[in-house]
Amino acid sequence: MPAKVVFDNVSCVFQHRSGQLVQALRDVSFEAPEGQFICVVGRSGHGKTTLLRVLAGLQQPTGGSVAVGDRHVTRPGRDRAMVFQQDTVFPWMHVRDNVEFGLAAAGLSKSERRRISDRRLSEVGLDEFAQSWPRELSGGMRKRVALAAVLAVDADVWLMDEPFGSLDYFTRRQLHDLLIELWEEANKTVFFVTHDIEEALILADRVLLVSEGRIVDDLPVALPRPRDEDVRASAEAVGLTKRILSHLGVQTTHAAPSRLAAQG
Amino acid sequence: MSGVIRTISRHPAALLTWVVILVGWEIAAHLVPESPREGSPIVPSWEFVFTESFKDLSGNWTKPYWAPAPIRGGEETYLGALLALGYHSLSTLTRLLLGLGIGVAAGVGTGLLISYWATARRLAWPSLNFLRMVPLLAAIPLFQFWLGANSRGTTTFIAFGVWVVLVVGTLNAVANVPDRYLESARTLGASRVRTYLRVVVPGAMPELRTSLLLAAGLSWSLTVGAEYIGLRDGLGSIMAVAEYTTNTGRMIIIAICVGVFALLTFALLDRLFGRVVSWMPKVDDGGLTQVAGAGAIGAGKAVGGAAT
Repeated sequence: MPAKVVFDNVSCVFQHRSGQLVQALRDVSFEAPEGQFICVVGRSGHGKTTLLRVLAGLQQPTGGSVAVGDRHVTRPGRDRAMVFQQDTVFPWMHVRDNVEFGLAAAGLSKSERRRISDRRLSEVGLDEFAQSWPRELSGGMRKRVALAAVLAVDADVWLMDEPFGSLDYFTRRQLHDLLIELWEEANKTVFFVTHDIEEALILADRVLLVSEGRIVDDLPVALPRPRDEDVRASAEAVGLTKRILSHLGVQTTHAAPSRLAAQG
Repeated sequence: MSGVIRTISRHPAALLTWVVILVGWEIAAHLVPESPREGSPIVPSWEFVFTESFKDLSGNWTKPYWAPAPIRGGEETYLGALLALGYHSLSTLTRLLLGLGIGVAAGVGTGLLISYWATARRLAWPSLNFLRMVPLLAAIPLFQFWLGANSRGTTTFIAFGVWVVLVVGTLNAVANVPDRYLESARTLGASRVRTYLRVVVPGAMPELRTSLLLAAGLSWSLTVGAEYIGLRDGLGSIMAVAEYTTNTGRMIIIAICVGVFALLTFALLDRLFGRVVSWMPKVDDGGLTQVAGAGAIGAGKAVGGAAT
């Protein structure tokens, strides 16, 4: 079941080695209904990843609270699964064992694990690579393995921290299509962190714009799907892009839409 | 050893280095002044090493069978030299492999146990780090005083030295497992024990492999050192007698023997541990091996299965 996510006045303060305090999140409050695809957009170092890590339970907030469904988030749980920016596929496990890792942790039998991993590997197009080592796969394929592992545990909320940031443009676009297909089928709540505005407009139902630890804008993205080049060049998409860029302090008056997107 | 052979087969020019060393040595043997002690050249020629010096080793064969024992009035023979070298090599290898095996098992085991508990790690780290800094060879007399100048004492000493290196090596290897793997395991619902056993331990293996090879090198120093100082058999003890009699040729033979055995130990460990870390990325091959002599292949085949 997808789950509603509630952030209530969440703050997060870090202390730098020099003693200086850094406020990564400031009184962040919002609600995310079940099944929504939310992109968290902002500049680097403005709190996007902290927001996601607090929701994952990897980081404790210094103030406020986070709830998923009727449960308060205090640590990682099976209701939330995360795809990281860096490569987190375990290189010492075959692809299938990676996908089954969360299932084994949940105590599922071998046959049940096998059934689920077969299905998830097929969904991400890696059924022929079940017995491969991660080192034998490309970066894009390893991201598919990470996606399959998240799909396998059937978490209510998918957390994605710039998962495709290190991939080339074409691979990224392929993975966008795959992710949307999987999300539409599973109907999960998704939090997707990115600094790429084009990526956000391709994926999101809603964009949370983060700047200096605050949510400075909350934009619904009502563009029709699939969001091909024509959709992304529409007046509505360009308007959204300009609005996001203005929050990020980028002057947009004379820039062409495609260039605007690329600046993300 | 296999590494040496592999290097030479890939780069035959590497042989040249060996030729230069051997020829250079031979030239030096003829250029340096003669030693005042007859039969003890300062730099022995290869001919001297492999004839007189080698045959002289039969003096270390003391058994009353298989070959004459000079200590019992028998003559020096090549068979006696070979038997002596084999017997003392076996003594050394037995001590080394026992000490190394015990030290590896105890060192990795202790390191993994301490690593699991943060408090134990914090408590143990300063003293272990201090122990690592102590020059182990200087502790040989102390160990021999406590445990006896015998095989048991030497094996215990080797095991202790390897243990120290591997506890510290294991602690470092565990600490250097990237956090991202631990966090990924936690978000997939893994317990602490499962994360440790299925993520931390295998993740530490590549660095542990390096520590293991370092410990193997150290174990040779410790073994030969302990035998040199206090034992009556083993390659180190032959070296001690060679020093006493300024028998340079014999020193060279023992050095070559130890070098060959150490390379074999390295190759064996590397091969055994190589299986444990067979998952490690090779030198950026991307999982592909170039097909020698292949021309163009069909586009369908070329991209088959590459689901990126």
